[in-house]
Amino acid sequence: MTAASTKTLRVLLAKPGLDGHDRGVKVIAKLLRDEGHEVVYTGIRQRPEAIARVAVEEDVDVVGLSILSGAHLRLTRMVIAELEAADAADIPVVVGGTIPRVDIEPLKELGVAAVFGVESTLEDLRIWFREARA
Amino acid sequence: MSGRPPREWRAETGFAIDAVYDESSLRPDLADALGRPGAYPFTRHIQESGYRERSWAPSLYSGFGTPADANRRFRYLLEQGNGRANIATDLPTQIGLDSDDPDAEGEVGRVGVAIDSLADFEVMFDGVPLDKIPISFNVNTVAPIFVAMLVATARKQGVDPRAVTGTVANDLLHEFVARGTWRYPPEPSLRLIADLAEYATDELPQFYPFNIRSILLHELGAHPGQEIGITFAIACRYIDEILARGIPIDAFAPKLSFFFGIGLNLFEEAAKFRAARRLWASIVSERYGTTKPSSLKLRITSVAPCGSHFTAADPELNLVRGTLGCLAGALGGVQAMLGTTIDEAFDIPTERTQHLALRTQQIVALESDVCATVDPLGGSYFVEALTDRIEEQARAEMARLGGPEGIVDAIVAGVPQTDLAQRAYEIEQEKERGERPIVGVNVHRAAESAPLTLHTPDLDLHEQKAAELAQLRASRDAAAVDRCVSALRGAAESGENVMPHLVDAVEAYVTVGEICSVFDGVFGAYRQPAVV
Repeated sequence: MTAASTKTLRVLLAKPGLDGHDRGVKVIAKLLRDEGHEVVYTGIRQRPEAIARVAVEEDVDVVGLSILSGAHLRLTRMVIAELEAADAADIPVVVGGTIPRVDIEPLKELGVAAVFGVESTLEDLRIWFREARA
Repeated sequence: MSGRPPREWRAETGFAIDAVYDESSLRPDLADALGRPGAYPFTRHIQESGYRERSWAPSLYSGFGTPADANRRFRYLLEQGNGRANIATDLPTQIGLDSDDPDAEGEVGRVGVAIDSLADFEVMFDGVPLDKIPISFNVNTVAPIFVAMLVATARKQGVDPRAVTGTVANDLLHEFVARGTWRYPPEPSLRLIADLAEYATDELPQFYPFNIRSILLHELGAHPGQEIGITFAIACRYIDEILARGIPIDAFAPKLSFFFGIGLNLFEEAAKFRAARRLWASIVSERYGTTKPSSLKLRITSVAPCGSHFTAADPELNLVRGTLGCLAGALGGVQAMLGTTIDEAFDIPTERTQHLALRTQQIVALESDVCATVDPLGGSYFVEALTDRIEEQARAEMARLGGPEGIVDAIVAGVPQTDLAQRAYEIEQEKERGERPIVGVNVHRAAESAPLTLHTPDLDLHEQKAAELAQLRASRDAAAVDRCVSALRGAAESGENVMPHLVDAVEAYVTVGEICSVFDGVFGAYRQPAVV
């Protein structure tokens, strides 16, 4: 393993919108910590501008959004716009939750780096984050 | 199955399951611990002859889009034999935001019906006689407002509100642990809960002002002992709040109802309901000193099974999981069952998937012998042992959280949330290692499964509802609105029961968001610490 591949990522996990289902995002937080990453979790019901502000203040390497309300397209578009407005468009955004297959491509077209929908596994996440820090 | 290590059989509640149970597993005082069905401690059932007397009520949960959309769906379900109009509202409504609030955009009508004012209730209950069809609302922050609108709608239908039946969740403490539709801090939330309960006790004798939801804990990963223990601590906290107003226990305890989750472990889940009934009867009699049977009976709504047990992979297989959950609920003697639909992992249900979930319950009730005799598992060596162990675990969990006196502090400090997040992570790891076999996911995977036809949301409802609100605000009597808002604020500040003022306000078409803003000014906003 090279030195670069063991770099610790700082990951912001956030729940935008009104959805309070947080079982999944907490599982991901624990998984990423076990993988050696640093995780900042915002809690539920965060506005997109607040998520972008924390991403900048905490100088994170990745922003992960967890959305189970069905409003993922609109909320993701808003978070990406806020990151651009904060001069932080270079921070990759990944999205997880109840994302149907048909919405994966539209999310990627918005600039999302990876989508972890209902058929994703913990291993899919580990692999993506291992590659992201390489 | 070759090549796998021998399976370790453990109950969800944590203890190892023996390969054989026999008469030595039975407690010496079994007859007293069971009692007769319909009699203290109600272990076997709250009705003397179980489902012969009255079967459980299928109670599918529906709602999406506009009030007219929701009305069509639950009239369809009622025609098909659903026992209640069990209404799902969208997230803005549950948090008390009007559809034209900027934070509501994109979520209007998405996971439930969008309700802004009494005008929406009038449309939603068009053709639904409120003295005949039980109405169930899974709302908390807006529970007092919804009950006020139910009273106002009944009056408009010419129905005496005293004849209105149904239930409302009114269970904010669980929202601070899971699901997160809180708005005010815990103390004023408890006050609103008690205002509603007090009003319902006096004015709505057929209505159950609580549906206390351990299901939320189940969906976070709670095992049966945690589900019962945390929930009973919360329920007793509500009772204490109401007793402090000088209302006698027997005036409202018969109007408490509970809403449990169901997993796929047929026997452990059935035992959970038996343990819960016995423990509740003993807590209420010991702590509150009543012997009135209707105060001691645990009335159980449930969901068969919880959505967290359904898979995205090979989703038609979820029908079989639905059957297992339904059997567990029936063997456990529940009073009502929601049904999870096979498209649970993807979106809110379609008419077709709700049809399948409803028919599942009807097949179990009518084509099997599960309703033939009360508590068919009573006396089973295994089930009685499970019942005892789960009851012990539930008592221990309740004590560990400081009981009803300590539960609010424990929740604000994030204690149950932290425990359940850890358990959810362990469950995912066990699935990943194959220790929890899930057919189609980590064993017997299909290469490709047939895609389902999913719900098609209307993503532009925000604009339609905003236009309707603008029209409502322009056409209502502005002076009456001001008068009602002032009176409501006065009651919120003085500590007077807000319910009569809420009824006046909704009748003047003050909106849900406007009412919640009045309360914001008095109660303040809650900020939840983020704990993992």
